[in-house]
Amino acid sequence: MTPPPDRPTPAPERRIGPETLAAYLDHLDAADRTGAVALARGLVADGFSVADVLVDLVAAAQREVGRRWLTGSWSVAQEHAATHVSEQVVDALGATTGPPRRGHVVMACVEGEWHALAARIVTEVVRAAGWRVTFLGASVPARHLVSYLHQTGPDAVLLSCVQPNRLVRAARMVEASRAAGVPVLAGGPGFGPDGRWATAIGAAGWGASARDAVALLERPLSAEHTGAPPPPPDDAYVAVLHRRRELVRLALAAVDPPPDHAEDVAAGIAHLVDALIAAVRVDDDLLLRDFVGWQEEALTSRGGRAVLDEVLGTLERALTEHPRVVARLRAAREGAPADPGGAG
Amino acid sequence: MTIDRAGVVTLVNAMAADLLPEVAPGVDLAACPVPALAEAAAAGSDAFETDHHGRRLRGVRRPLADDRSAWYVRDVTEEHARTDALLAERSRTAFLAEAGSRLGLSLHREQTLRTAVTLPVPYLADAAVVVHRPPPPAEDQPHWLRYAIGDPGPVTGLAGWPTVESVPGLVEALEGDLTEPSPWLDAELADLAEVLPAGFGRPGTVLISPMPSAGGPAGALVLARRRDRPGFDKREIGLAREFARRAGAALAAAELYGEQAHLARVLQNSLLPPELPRLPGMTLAGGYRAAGDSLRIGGDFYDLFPTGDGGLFALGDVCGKGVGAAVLTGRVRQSLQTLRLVEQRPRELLELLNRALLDAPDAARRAQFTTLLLGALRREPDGGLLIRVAGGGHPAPLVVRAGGGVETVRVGGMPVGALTDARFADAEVRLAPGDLLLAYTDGVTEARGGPTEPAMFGDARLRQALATGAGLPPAALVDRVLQLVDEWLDGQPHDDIAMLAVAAG
Repeated sequence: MTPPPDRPTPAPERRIGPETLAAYLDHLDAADRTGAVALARGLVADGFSVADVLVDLVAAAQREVGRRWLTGSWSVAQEHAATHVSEQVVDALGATTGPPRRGHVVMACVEGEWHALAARIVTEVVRAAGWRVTFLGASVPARHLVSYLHQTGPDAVLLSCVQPNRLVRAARMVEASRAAGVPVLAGGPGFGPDGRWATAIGAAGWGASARDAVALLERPLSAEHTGAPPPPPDDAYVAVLHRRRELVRLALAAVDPPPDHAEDVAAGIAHLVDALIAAVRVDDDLLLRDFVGWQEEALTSRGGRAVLDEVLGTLERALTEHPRVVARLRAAREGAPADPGGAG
Repeated sequence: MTIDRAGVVTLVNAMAADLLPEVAPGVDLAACPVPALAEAAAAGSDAFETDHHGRRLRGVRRPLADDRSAWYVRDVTEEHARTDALLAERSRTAFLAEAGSRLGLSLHREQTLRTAVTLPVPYLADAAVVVHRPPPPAEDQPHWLRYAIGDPGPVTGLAGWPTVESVPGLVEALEGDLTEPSPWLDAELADLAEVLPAGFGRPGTVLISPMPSAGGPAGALVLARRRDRPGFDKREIGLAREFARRAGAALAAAELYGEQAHLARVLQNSLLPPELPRLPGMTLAGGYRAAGDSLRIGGDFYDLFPTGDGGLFALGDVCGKGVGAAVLTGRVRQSLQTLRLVEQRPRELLELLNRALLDAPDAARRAQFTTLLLGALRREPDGGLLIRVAGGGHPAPLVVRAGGGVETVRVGGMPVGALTDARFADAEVRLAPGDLLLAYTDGVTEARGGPTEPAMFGDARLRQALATGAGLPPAALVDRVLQLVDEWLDGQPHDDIAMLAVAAG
């Protein structure tokens, strides 16, 4: 990974250390905006670049916030409040960046994605590298993106996608951007390990971090990444996409969850069907298999493995006319970590 | 023509003598003065093809008895020309198809210009320059945009009239005069040097084509070739002119779209929800999602006006959708902005607004009404807020207590702008520090979606979302509700959605 050329030079031993990170997390824990902003500004005054502080402090802290929320040591409210403080820190640091001296890029989160802090960090890091960056916000509808692209004609779109089940929507946004003559650089874990699914849907490149985004923009963007994107590898894609709601309904009826869990389970099933459609789109069983493994943990309190097997089995029966899709479902069922009472 | 085993020509028929007069009986074929044939003979290969005396010749060798062989030589000049023409036609069609699809992609002027200069390089020229006049309100100065082999991307600059006038044919092309464009050599090109890359040298040939469009000339396309590249032939001139025409049409479409988009943006900016001012002793946040169209404006709105002891908020919903509703929204906001200068009590202000809207000359014809909440926010000495909310037929606001309780503030009242004798109501609520009041439009609760059968998001889900988000700052809570509604909608179309949250402290 090439560091941005205009990065100031903090000596290697002057990386932002764990004590600083811990102090910052304490500010987040206390929802202490003033303290958090002061700490971040202090680091910049100390000679760290805005990019360093955003990536090595704010983004690192956010991973810890996510972990605390996942493990249940923080409530949703605490997580929201902490994120809100970090957003204000990003704003405060962004305000210190000088006027742009390079092209114009647009940052958008895939429709349905609301965790925008990572995208805001990318926005400010890319801005600090000299670009004019417009942040379109969380959950950007494809048509808003298109009208914005036609109005402003930017050099590139940076598209963030965190969850692979949103890949189908990401594909729609990539297609729309390419059709407007603007290449897309993808970012985030939603595009698969090492971003392996990014090119399948027509993105010009993929990066894991804000610094990657800067490095990707250093390379010239070719016109071959505009126009029609690579087509889906399988006719079944459109067929399954069309039957999405029906499939969710069938699977929900088969699981028949207790009423007070019904909405959660229905949402979980919808995500799984989306992941299936995405797996067909990018032609990779790994997507569905990983997603099923992840869902298994999320659904543990709702019946776990048994519920998943019921859902996958129902989908297999409903989609018998698409043998390749059925094969994917079977692979996901067999490939997921085995459970004593489960796969078979 | 036959040769013996030593490779010496033994017999030449009349046709061979005509095509290859140099090859007579007795000549050693491997040393004959037709290089391609000599090479083939020396290498023992079975075929050759060459240009000879203005003809295209193709020969094949067939073995005869006793190690002798015969060369059959044909004149394929015409056949070859046809193949050449076919290949050229194919590449021309491919180029135009590519140009058509790429030029059709963007509706943005700069983007289209960039495409127009990158496409002809290197197929048609070593450097392409578009000289264009940006549309008003920009100053009428010719600008240029260049792409040449070796440029990492298109380069732009300001040309200035003297430069443009010094290049023969450029002014005519810019004015759209369809002068026969012809490649010219040896003209005075000193001034073109400033738009060509350093090190390009004096161009060999330059071809200037107007980029005409329905609305007048869109610009001129200048194609330059290096000295070591042959000039433009007739076919290439035709192709360049056709390409320039298509680029001109695409540029004109982009300009028209730009004008419309500018108009829409001005309208949009005047109608989008405002940045909320910061008021001491309270925190506010708004959330807004317009229904379907790409203009992102609609009939829902909110506003906040500072007052001496706090502020006055408004949140409303004009019946209808899209630009029509947005324009009436603008009128309601404008009226409130003015009327609050004479009346700051919410219920009285609603009555005044009702009269003002009904008094408008075309009010009866439009028959549009508005549901509205107006709230006077007053700071209390203990850090709390006293809110007096007046209602005009709008969904009741909700209070989220710091402890997680959610209460409805029953307001009531009739819609604004519908009836002259409409009655309005008001209610009062106190927020302790940490409490929050949320006013919202019915786009939130009536969002139809859900993972299975389409159903409304509804009051119960909204209340649950608020209860679990008690204690969050207003911005975070509004985001949370927007997110839940968005997930509920799952990509389905929705009505305008607006929310305004205020918390004490």
